[in-house]
Formats: sequence, structure tokens, C-alpha cells
Amino acid sequence: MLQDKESSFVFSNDMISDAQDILITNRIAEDFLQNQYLKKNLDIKSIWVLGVGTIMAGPFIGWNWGVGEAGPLGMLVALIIISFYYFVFFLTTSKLSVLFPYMGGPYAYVRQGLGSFWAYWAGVLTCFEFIGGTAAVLAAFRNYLAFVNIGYSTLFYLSIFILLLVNLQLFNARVMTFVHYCFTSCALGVLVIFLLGTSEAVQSTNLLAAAPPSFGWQEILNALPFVSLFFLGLENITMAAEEVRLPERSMPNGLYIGFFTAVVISFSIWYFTVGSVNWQLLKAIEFPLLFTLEQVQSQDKVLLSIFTVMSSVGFIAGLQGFINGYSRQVYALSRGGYLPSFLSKIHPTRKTYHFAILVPGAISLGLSYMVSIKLLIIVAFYSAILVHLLVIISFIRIRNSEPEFFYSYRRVYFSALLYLTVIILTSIILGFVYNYFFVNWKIIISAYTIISLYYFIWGVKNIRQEAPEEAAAALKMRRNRIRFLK
Amino acid sequence: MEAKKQYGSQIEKDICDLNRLGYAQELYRTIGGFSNFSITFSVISILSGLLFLYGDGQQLTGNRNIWTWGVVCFFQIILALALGEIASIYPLAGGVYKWTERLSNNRSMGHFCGYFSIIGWIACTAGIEFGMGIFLTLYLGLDYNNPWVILGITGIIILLHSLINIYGIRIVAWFNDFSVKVHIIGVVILVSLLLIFGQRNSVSSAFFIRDKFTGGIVAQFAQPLLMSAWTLMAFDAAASVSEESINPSKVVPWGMFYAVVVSAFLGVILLISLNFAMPDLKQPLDTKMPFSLYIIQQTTGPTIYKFIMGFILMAQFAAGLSSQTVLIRILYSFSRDNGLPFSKLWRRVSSRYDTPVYSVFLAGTVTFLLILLSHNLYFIASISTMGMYLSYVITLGVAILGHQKINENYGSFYLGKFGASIRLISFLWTLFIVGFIIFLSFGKMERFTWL
Repeated sequence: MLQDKESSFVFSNDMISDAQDILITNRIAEDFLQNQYLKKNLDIKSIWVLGVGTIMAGPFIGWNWGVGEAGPLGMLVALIIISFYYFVFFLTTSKLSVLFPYMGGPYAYVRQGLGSFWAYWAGVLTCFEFIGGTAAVLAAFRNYLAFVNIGYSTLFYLSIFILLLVNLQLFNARVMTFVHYCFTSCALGVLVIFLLGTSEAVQSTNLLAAAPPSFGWQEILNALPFVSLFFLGLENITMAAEEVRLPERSMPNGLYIGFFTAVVISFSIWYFTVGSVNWQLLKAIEFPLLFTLEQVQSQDKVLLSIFTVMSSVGFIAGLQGFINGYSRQVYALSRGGYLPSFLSKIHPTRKTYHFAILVPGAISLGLSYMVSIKLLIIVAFYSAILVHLLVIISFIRIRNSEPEFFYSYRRVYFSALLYLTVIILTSIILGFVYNYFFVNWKIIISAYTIISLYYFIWGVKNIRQEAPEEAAAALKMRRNRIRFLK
Repeated sequence: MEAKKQYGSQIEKDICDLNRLGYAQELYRTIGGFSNFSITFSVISILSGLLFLYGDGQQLTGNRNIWTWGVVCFFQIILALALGEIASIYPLAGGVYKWTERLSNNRSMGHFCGYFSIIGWIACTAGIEFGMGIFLTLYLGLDYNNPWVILGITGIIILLHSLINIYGIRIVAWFNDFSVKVHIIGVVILVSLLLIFGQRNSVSSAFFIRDKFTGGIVAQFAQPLLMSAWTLMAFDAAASVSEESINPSKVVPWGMFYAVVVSAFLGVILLISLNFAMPDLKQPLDTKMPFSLYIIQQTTGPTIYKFIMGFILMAQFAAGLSSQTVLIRILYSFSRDNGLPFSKLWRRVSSRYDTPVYSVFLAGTVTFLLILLSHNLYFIASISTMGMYLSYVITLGVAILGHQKINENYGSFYLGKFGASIRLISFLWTLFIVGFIIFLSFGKMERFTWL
């Protein structure tokens, strides 16, 4: 790794001819770190906020479309499936994020396990997930403000978005995390108010008796993208590793606590919402929690007023989390040379990556106007699924090639969990192919071709070997060929 | 690294200071300035004391009760300054009784003061825990009229506090820091809600509403004064963890002072907002519910009320924990000086947890016994106020007589030429409070029946 700068070393890149060795000297490594240095000021609480804050918008929007697809029990099954594979995904990333504590997150892990092409794809798909998520939350927030009849809602919503971007751009990660912490805590408080408000309205008949007419795997697969809103973006935590103090302790703890929080939120929201009203009423609603409260607490005007106003905090927290996610990933890909280098420029004093925040932000703003929320959610979800699959396959490959780092991860039951997750993720992708690929194959093939061509024509030639993800990968994958220069 | 070194050398200096005062460092010294402030702030706990006794003041003086808070705050700040100066000279676990002993050079005088202090702290801890037991029983919807249910809930709370205190001071410190957040956020949310949704009265009526007094003005103000005095006391809590604090000579007095000032400010805005939101005065007095909770419920509705209650309960839990922590430290300190029967047992510090485990058992048992025997929150509150203020009276009296010693040995917190007058005002104030409690409150015990 680059931190070990006692000696210069030579390594070869797997994508470049073996004869073409690249020399990384101390000076190059130090210059790179000097230019790309990010402050290490995040702790467990901060990374928990990054993850949980990102999923805060999910409970307020759209997950109920999953109930419409699969019914209450079908949604519960979908929730269990998603919780299970996120659990396994976090088990793997808790190890990977300690071994490779780089901003790239999924891109960094896949780079170690599957090489630069798939790493590039992992990075791009992560960008899709987070930019799509940002656009979905923005669109939902706009609709929400219109729904609650706030005058000049579009202007208001744009102002908040710009304010957030400026906030992120102007202040350092610590200030940003504090602001995010406040928003996330408020959003959690709003969820607690919702649970208290519906606690006496839950009926088992709503949860169990009202099975949909066509309860089956097809419906559950259709429900998955919407149900995933409870977890979508939680992997944001892995991308903060480079800015974390003591990653070997903070990363696993942050990931597990974040996952546990998401599980508690998702299952309790399912129980109290679906249990309080007839699921048929939830099918076409855009804001399920507000709708449910209006149904069961119609007399309590104070509660409804507070909930309506404070729900917007959930959107803002989610928005901030998604902005964090895409900016980190875009920055890492740009730093690695896959995307144009201006995107990884760091502000000299504040150490923030303003272009990586603003450019994708503008794209997601445009998408929020052009694409429907449902489509944005579906794109974000399947991008996330592909990323998770790539990461888990990478984990298996890294574990097999360097078993000394994975002693406790080589037990039989853990392997069984991994392979079961690969099967589940593959099935979900097959479901995607069945549902969407044949209908939209021209668009999907074109997008795949363009993105891959970009890599082969431009990206591969500009990979910067001094980027930590690249250097670590080369060091690992060609370990036996490294010649240390004294 | 530099900070670590600085910390290390400060701890060494604190240990030397303690050795100079005649004691070895046995407890784990980890508490910083903020945690020290947090302990005192948690014990004062305006979300516990003010909310519980608010109705009692309202019954007699109406919205005028807010003025007693102002008066008490003013004098308590002066009292905090006076005690802070002494704490800065003698940063020892045990607080007031150690100060009295050192200032008077008389062990018996110290012990005499210490017994009142211990009685005060036992009752203070019992009051908070029993109050929380009542609130929690209400919150959980259990049988509120069955005292055994309340006792059972209170017993569980005491057990949890004891376990946390055994397990270690770091968890207590974490809870105290958490308590500060809960109190500040809780008060901000509560005040905002009351001001937004509960503006039932005009600005002037929030301070003066009430047609006429039905008795003597002094007698009428005695009860609201108890509300304020009971809530805003026990700020010598910071002193009790002196031997676990880093740089106690500085952080203890400032912790006391800031805790009183912040609590006073939050208390004012809380009382004003409650007075603003108060519905028809006759209506709530007919209910069995504590008056403040009734106002909150009427203003915010049942769901938001439950949410706010969550904050109040968390604040009370942290307050009870802090209070028990202080009580344990005083018991430990007292037994270290052979001031209690079986002192050898109570002063034993667990090598595994670095906490005086047997003192924890003693504190838990005694508080539970007091609750079991008295069954009356207002009685416990009065005992607590009387015990604590009497110990302050003794300490301040000794300090006035031994002012030479303070002027010669002053620590980081020194009042200079104002010291003498501040001590005198504080002494008269504490004497006045004790007189009020003894002659007015105990004389009217029939009004305090809760169960």
C-alpha cells in the first residue's frame, strides 16, 4: 500500500502489458497523497449517520408500491430477502473496508478481486445507484411539497438542494456530518412519532388475512425494488473509509449498527403501516406514512401538522446522504483516472471535492424532472444489486487468493451464506432480465456498449497507478512480481 | 499526541494534589470538564423536578410561581459561586462534608455535616427514582393506583442504576453526556410545541394570572419555593466526583456554576411556555395527572405527548443515575474516613471495575427502603431539600468563620474581595430555605399526599 513508503517499488498493472512496468517512487506517492489528502475526522457515529441518513427518505416514499405488487406477506418476504443479502453484503464489506479503506468502496473492492474493467463497472453502477437515488428523492420531495400545498414549492425545493450542495462544498466533512446528524436524528424522531401514532391501530387481520390474489415469486421480485428503499444507499458507509479514524474498529461497527438500525426501521414501518390500514389503500399512494397517519389519527391536528412539516427533514437527510455517496464515488473514479480528472480536484483549504458534488448534482436535478420516480428507483435498485454481486464475487476471489487475511471468513457456514447470496442476487438479476430487459433491450444494450466503449477508448489509458485503490490492487494482484528497489 | 501528554501530566498533577490532601488515588480518573458539568446538570434535571412540582406551585400562586424560580435561580447562582470556591481548594470525593472538616479542622463537625448531606442525597436519589417510577407507570398504562406496581417499577429502575454504577464510571459519564443532550433537545422541543400550539394566554397573564390570594402571601409562596429549591439544588454533585475528574480544581467549580446557569435559563423558558399554554385553571386541578403533564397533553395531543414523555423519562433516568453516582461517592468517601458502620466494607473498590461495589449495594438498598417506607414523593422531596440545605448551612457557616483559610489556600476558582459577602448571602439564603421547609412545608404534610 502507498502508506508504506519506506522503499520505492515497481509493479505491473494487469491491464497494461507485463513488460511495461511502472515505477512509483516515494516522491510520486507523497505528491499524490499531498494533492488528494482528505481529513480523517469521521468516527463510528459519523459513519452511522452517513449510512442511516441516506436511507431516511426511503420510509417516507414509495416503498408501499411493493405492497401493491406482492401484498403484505409478499412484502414481508421481500423485506426478509433484502435484509438477508444486505447482512451478508455488510459481513463481507466489514472485512474489505478494513483491508482496503479507500474512498472507492465497491470500486476499490472489485478492483482487487476482478480487475479494472469490472471495477470501473462497479464504480459506474454505484454512481447510477446514488445519482438515481438523489433524483428519486428530489422528485419525491418536490411532489411532497406540492402535496402539502406549500406555495412556490419548486423554488423552495431547488433552494434547499442548492443550499445543501453549497453546504457540502463550503464546509469540511466534520461540519457536514454534524448537519447530517441533526437531520437524521430529527427524521428518526419523526419515525418514532409515526410509530407512536399508529401503535394502537394495528390489526392482525390487516397483516395476515389480506393476502393478495396472486401471491408468488414473480410478485415478490417486482416488489423488491420498492422495498429496497429501506436499505438503498446504506452502503454509503463503505465509501467513507478513507476519512475514518481507526477504520479497523470504526468500519465494522458503523456497518453493523447502521444495518441494525435499517432493519429495525424497515420491519417496524412495515408492521405499523400495513397493520394499520387495508393494504389495498396503500397501493397507489406516494407518501405512505402521512397517508396512514391521516387514516388513523384524523382528529389529532397537532400530530398531523407536526408530522407533515417534519417529514421534509427525512427527505433532506436522505438527499444529503445520496449526495455524499455519489460525490465520493465520482471522486474516487476520477482520482483513479476512469473519469475526467477535474472531478477529483480538491479545494486547497477545505479539502472538499466540489466538482464531484456539483456535476452529478446537476445531472440528478435534470433526471428528477425527466424520469419518473418509479423508473429511477428501479434503475438505482438494479444498479445496487449488480454492485453487490460484483463485490461478493470479488470477496470470494480475494479470500481464495489470500487466505491468510480471511481466517474467520473461511468457515463452511460463511461460504454457504456467500454462495446463497450469490444465488439470490443472480435470481433477482434474472428477474430483471425477464421483466425489463426484453422490453427495453435496445436501450440497455446501447447503454452497456457506450459505457464499456468509454472505458476501452478513454478510461483504460488514463488509469492513475498512484491512486490508492489502483496501487493496492496492483500490489496485491501482482505481489509475486514486485521488485523492491532499495 | 501532544494533547495526550498534556492529559497525562495533568492527571499526574491531580494525583499529587490528592496525595498532598492525604489520600491515595484509588478511583479511575477519566472525567473531563464537560462530563463534570453533565453530572451536575443531570442531577438538577429541570425535566424531572420542575415538571413534577409545577402543579403544586400553580395551586397556590398561579402563574406567579415563575417569580419564585427567578428568585431561587439568583440565589442559587450565588450559592454555586460560594461552594465552587471551596471545591476548588479541596477537590475531594465527599464534597461538603470534606470541606467542612478541612475548614473547621474538626472531624466531628465534618461528620455532622456529612450525615445531613447523606440524608439529602439518599432522599434526592429516592425522589428522582420514585418520581420516574410514577411517570413510567403512567406511561406504560399500568395500574397507577396500585402502589406495589409503582414500587416494582421503581425497584427495576434502582437495579438498573446500580448495575450501571457497578459496571463503570465511563458508562455513567456517557449517560451524563447523553442526559445533557436529552435535556436540551427535550426542553427545546417541548417549549417550541407549547409556544406554537398552546398560546392560550397573553404575555402578561403568563406571569401574573390569579384573582386573589386565599391566605398569607408568605405561606402561599412557600410551596412554589420548594418546587424551585428542590429542582435547583444538588449542584455539589460535581464535587463528589472530584477524585475521578481531570483538573478538578478548575472543572468542578465551573461545572457547578454552568450547570446552575444553564438550568436556570432552560427552566425560565420552560415555565413561561407552560404558563402560556395553561388551559382553564380549574380544569386540570380536577384530574389526577401531574399538572405539567396535563398541560402538555392538552396542548400537543396524545401521540406527541407520548413522544415528549419519552424524553422526560430518559432525562429522569439519567438524573437518577447521576444522583445515585454521587450518593455512592459520598458513601465511599465517608466510609474511607470511618464515618459509617462497617466502613471497611463500603470503601472496598472492585479491582475489576474500579468502582466501590458495596457502596453501590448500600445506596440502592437504602433508597429503596426509604421509598418503601414513605410512599410519598413530596415527603421525600422535603427531606432531600432539608438535608442538603442543612449541610450547606453548616459548610457555609464554617467557611464564614474560617475565611482566613480560604484566602490563604485559594484554588483556580477564587472570588477575591467578593468572597466574604457572597458566602454571607449564601449562608443566609440556605438558612432561609431550611426555615421555610421546616416551618411551612412539614407543617402542611397533609397536602403532600400523593398516593
